[in-house]
Amino acid sequence: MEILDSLAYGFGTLLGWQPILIIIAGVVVGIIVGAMPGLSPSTGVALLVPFSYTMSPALAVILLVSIYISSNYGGSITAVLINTPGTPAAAATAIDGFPLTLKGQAGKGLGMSLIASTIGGVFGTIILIAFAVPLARLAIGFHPADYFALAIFGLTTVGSLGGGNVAKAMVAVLVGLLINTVGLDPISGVSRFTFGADALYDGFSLIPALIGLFALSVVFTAFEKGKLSKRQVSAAGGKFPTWAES
Amino acid sequence: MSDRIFGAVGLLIAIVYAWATLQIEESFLSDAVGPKTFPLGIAVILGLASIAIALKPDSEPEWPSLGRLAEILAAVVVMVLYAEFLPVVGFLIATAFATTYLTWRLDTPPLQAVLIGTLTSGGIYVVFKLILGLSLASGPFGF
Repeated sequence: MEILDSLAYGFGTLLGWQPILIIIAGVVVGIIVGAMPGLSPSTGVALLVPFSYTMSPALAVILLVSIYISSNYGGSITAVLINTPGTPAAAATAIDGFPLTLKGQAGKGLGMSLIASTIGGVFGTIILIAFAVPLARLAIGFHPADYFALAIFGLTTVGSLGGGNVAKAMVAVLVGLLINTVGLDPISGVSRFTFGADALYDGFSLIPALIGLFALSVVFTAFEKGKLSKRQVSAAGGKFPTWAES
Repeated sequence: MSDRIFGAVGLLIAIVYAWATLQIEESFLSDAVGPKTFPLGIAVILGLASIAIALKPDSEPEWPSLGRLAEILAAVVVMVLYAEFLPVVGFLIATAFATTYLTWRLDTPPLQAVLIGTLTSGGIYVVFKLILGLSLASGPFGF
């Protein structure tokens, strides 16, 4: 049972006060990094690699993994509180979480997101440990047609999130795809819709587009309503979700 | 009526987009699918969805008053100016001005707005440039 030996060794490296302190520090830094729109989990890890130079390899990996995992959660904090996803992955959290904040139940939104992130993270890790090898085999068997089907599935899911009018949701999805076709075609390298402008060759990158579309739309909605104070949350409290609610 | 105009604009975008797609010059290396197929697919479905909206519009949305629309337009102008001036005057100054304007127009007393704008800009500058060592556009004074 090679896998059990490896697991025992892996958990063994976590024992002691040093790894625990590093995990706590990594999680705190990671949440802050994730909550900042513009700093993605991978940017956060890249920025903090220099800090790991003086550590032993095991501790360095522990630090980077804690930062990566917690920054993926951190993105949901700004998504829930100010409707601006801190990480691309938190875009869907903003749809459910921000209305809770407007109702004065920010605590519930943040708690739910924390619980979901924790369960998802632990579950994902277990799956990874148990099925990494068979999953890798499956991934190799994934062909372009399968990727295409998966992408179509994802896009139809996004379309259904629009609520109400399906045609409008489709238009939103397609405008997103349209923006994404600007730049060099990834297959043939032909430039598309760049109109000779060098700046357009790389296309539009995700984070600026996310900030522009999410954060600025909040600003414009505020202008439409007139005064920001009218939109203010009635009470910034809200309790952590109870056991039954979660 | 708003939805019909929205649908018409969508259809127009789809047609212009399809036309622009057909202008793409293919390289000699192109495969069977080529760089045009995907954009054409987008254009067709975008056009169909726009026609559907134009033919079956939702009930009329509530438009903001003329004054509000002017405010939104002014905010857009400020954001465009921000993008234009960012490389010229640098992050610190450009962000302070943009934040001050937006906060002021969203009903904050002028003096507080200036304070919030300066602090926001300075705070982001300290965290990103000084602590994390990332690059932000610098102006004529080196910041």
